[in-house]
Amino acid sequence: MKNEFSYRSPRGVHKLRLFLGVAMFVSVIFAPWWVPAIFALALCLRFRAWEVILAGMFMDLYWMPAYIGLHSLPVATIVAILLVFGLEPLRRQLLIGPDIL
Amino acid sequence: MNPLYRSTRRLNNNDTPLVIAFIAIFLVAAFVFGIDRISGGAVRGYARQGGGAVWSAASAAVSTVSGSGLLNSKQSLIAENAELREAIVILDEQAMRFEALQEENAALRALLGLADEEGVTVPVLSSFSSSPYGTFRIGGGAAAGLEEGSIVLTPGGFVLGSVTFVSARTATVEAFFAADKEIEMLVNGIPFVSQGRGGGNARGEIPRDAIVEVNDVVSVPAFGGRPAGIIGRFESASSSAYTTLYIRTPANLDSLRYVHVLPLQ
Repeated sequence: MKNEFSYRSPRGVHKLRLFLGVAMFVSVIFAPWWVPAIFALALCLRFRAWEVILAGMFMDLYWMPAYIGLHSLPVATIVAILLVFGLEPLRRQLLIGPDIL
Repeated sequence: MNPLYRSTRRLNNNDTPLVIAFIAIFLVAAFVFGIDRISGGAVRGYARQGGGAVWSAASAAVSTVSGSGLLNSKQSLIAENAELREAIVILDEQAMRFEALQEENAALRALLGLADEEGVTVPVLSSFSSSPYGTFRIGGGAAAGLEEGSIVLTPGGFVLGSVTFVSARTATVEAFFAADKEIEMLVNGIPFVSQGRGGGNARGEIPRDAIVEVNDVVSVPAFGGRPAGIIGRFESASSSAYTTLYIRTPANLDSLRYVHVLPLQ
């Protein structure tokens, strides 16, 4: 039964998430830092993308010069958490679909 | 109703409470980073080992495709062109380095016993622009005798940075010109503190009456007066008591394939 509030993921949405996720992780290693940031932003606008936080942690573990501490904060992890939780209200109210992305 | 709009109430019934999720994620992140710190960087070691393997696999695949002849002719010309450009950059850099050494550093280096030092040449495993922290990866680790604090040089002898993390076969290097990184430097005998701008660039201020010229060599006293860059340009406003120096590494970082690592003194 389908009512006006029901929302079915269009075909290819999961593929889109998989593509964006893989591209984000690969770009952490190969691309400038702003490339995974763009993928993370796109993911967070469309999905509740927990993988963005994993990618942020991976970026910190892979690139940080020193141990995590008060003087060397894991910036990528913090930004990822802010993206996932900070964009949640916007994502709830206005779902941006793949046709727009 | 617009299909792009969905009811908040309906979503709230199904979604995980955000506060609980936030606390859980905070705890997981703290646990992972805590384990990494307690274990002396074991988690980072695994992450970097995995990333390094991916990088090596991709690099090998690119080399195989390039070397198979599939993209020959134009590809070979492009490669030759890149090699020649790299050679020119290295020669320019070496000329500047030798001039600097002859004029200022030869006696000091001999006194400090730096002339006979040995090191290892290792490949660069990552792009210089990938890291948000101004770090890059090299293909030598504890097995090659590298230690935390080892100095990393360009093939022409300019200081690039120091090793900050060592695993068995790879190491992480923090560039001296990483964004916002401050380091004491010397130009024409004038000490000053440079502030990294990333991408092999830095900025510093010296008194306005000091005499400097474009292409003057900037050295790092903490590392035996080794050259770290050259002055690309400088500015001095009439209202300011200082001259602003714009320093750059003479090597083209994007084309660097190998670096030289010196052991700790």
